Amino acid sequence: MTLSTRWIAPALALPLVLLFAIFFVVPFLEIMRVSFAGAGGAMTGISWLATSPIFSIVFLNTLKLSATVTFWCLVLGYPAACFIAMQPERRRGLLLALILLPFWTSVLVRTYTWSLVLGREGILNASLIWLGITEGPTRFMFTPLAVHLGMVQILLPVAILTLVAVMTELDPGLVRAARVLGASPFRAFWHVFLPMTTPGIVAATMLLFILSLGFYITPALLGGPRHRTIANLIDVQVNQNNDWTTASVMALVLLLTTIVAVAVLRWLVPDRNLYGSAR
Amino acid sequence: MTQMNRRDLGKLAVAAAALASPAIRPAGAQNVTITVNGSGGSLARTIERLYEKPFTAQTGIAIRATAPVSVAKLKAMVETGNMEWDLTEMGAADMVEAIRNNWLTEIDWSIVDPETKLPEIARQKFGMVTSTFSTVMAYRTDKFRGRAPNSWADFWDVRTFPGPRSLQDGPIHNLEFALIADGVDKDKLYPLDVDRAFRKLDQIKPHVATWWTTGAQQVQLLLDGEAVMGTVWNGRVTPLKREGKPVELSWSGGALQLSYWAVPKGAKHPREAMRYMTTRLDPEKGAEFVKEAPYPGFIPGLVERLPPDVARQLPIHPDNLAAQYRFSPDYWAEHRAKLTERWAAWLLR
Repeated sequence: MTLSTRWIAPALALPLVLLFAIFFVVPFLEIMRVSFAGAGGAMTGISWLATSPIFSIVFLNTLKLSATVTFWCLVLGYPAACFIAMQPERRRGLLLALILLPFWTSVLVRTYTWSLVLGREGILNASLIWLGITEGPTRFMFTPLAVHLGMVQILLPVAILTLVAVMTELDPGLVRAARVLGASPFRAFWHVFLPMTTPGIVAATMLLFILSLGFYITPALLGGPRHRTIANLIDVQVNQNNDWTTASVMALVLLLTTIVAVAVLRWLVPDRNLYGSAR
Repeated sequence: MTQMNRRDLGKLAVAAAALASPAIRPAGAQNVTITVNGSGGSLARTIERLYEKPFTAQTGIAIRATAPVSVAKLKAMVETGNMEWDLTEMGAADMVEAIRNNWLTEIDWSIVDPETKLPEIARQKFGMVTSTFSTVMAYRTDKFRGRAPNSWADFWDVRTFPGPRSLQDGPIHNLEFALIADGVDKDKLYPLDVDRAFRKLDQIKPHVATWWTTGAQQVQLLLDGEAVMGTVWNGRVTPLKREGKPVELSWSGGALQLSYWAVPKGAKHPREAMRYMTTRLDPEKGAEFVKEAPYPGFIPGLVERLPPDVARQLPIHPDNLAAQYRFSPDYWAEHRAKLTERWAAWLLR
């Protein structure tokens, strides 16, 4: 290794390291400080977690919501990704652009659009009444259904893009070989194609779950205060109740949950399946 | 005695400043910019035209307007010693909390109101009442076949007035409204019978479509038909009625609240901020402001300068005052944390 290459790698990483140090590590240490040394001493935040009637409910709701949203994104995204990956390259580009378009649209705008669709006097209710399926307006807004719909729609591109990236890297010859050797289409999919896409499924699961855990705007607008997530509860503690100690503790819990989720996933799916099994 | 002396000195100071200002501006004031924190929104433009620009022209003190009003931000700025604001708007319950935590600077009334024009209620140790507003019941006029709900009992009466409701997310006011609906005298609300209030709220909860958290949401819910009746800040309804939207409000059992201006602890230009506060004592400008936003302060001569139909829309109109209850910020500053937690748990059930 020459002198110049020994220095060039750290130099290239420096801006990112600095960015993280200033905007992640420092605020993170501050959050640690407020959690453990904030008003009332070290244990107030933690004892609040244990005794608060709201925290446990909101925390479990957030986990359930994130898991369900992740599940539906995978179920809906996987076939779509398969379809896109099988297209010739030019059409694939066009289809991916169609997926990217909503992905680049502001989350706020997409969330508001859902409230136009799901409202009491919205498109869905108007259609149901016009078709004679329902007599009066049904309440869709401010229900768990609305939150799930909004979040799945917003996160679906993440699932599709991640899966397509993995699927297009696969050698289509392997599936063809399975078919030639007498496997049924289902068998070829189940024993050849699906296992090869595991890295994509795992990566998508991690991304979707972690993104869902921190969702803020969509549950706030489509769910309202009765369907709060941890992120909403942190906001309430900071902005309404002036209680930064519990807010910081919750932020730490959220981070820990993310780390645990990633660890569990890595433990369930051995490394060998994450990197390079397809090759 | 000292009071008198201080007041006289203040008069002198103001007179001197007034004399000096057009020709030779007081040294140092020229390059001062004060930061005034308020609610922002469409009113910010009216405030700029009516108050900020003339003040800058007259005194040479520039004004930077920021938003939104947030007691959490105030706390952060005091604790980090980095006070950005020289003057900030404050809600009543936040005010009590800020005073208790020593986040505010005492008002020097010899600068702000040397002639004691304002009534006692508006002249407080740590703040000046700049405006009043009410949380009241609003409803869609096209949803009840011409009938008009006119009490909290009507709000709870889903048989006579069917349709989804909306209420604010939080115990403040909602507990009072529930008690009034349950027959408690509006002048004998405090200390609140909390258990009784929550029992009454249990009855309306299944009919509440959602719980608003911002001012924009309250009226949007009504206009979208997401709710046919809900609580709103009185000033949000006035412009809608002007546009011919089918909404109306009822003052009965409404919550009259005071809004303050306060100088935060550690403000960089407290004296200039207090000079700016004097602009709100002008009844002419006050009347012009109120025509756009029905949030009047306690300036003597204000109501008299307004046409009767505008005056009738104000929280401090005698008829409206009589219909409302007097909100107790002291009670809430003491019980807010505990009741907010109980509220949150109740809401999730």
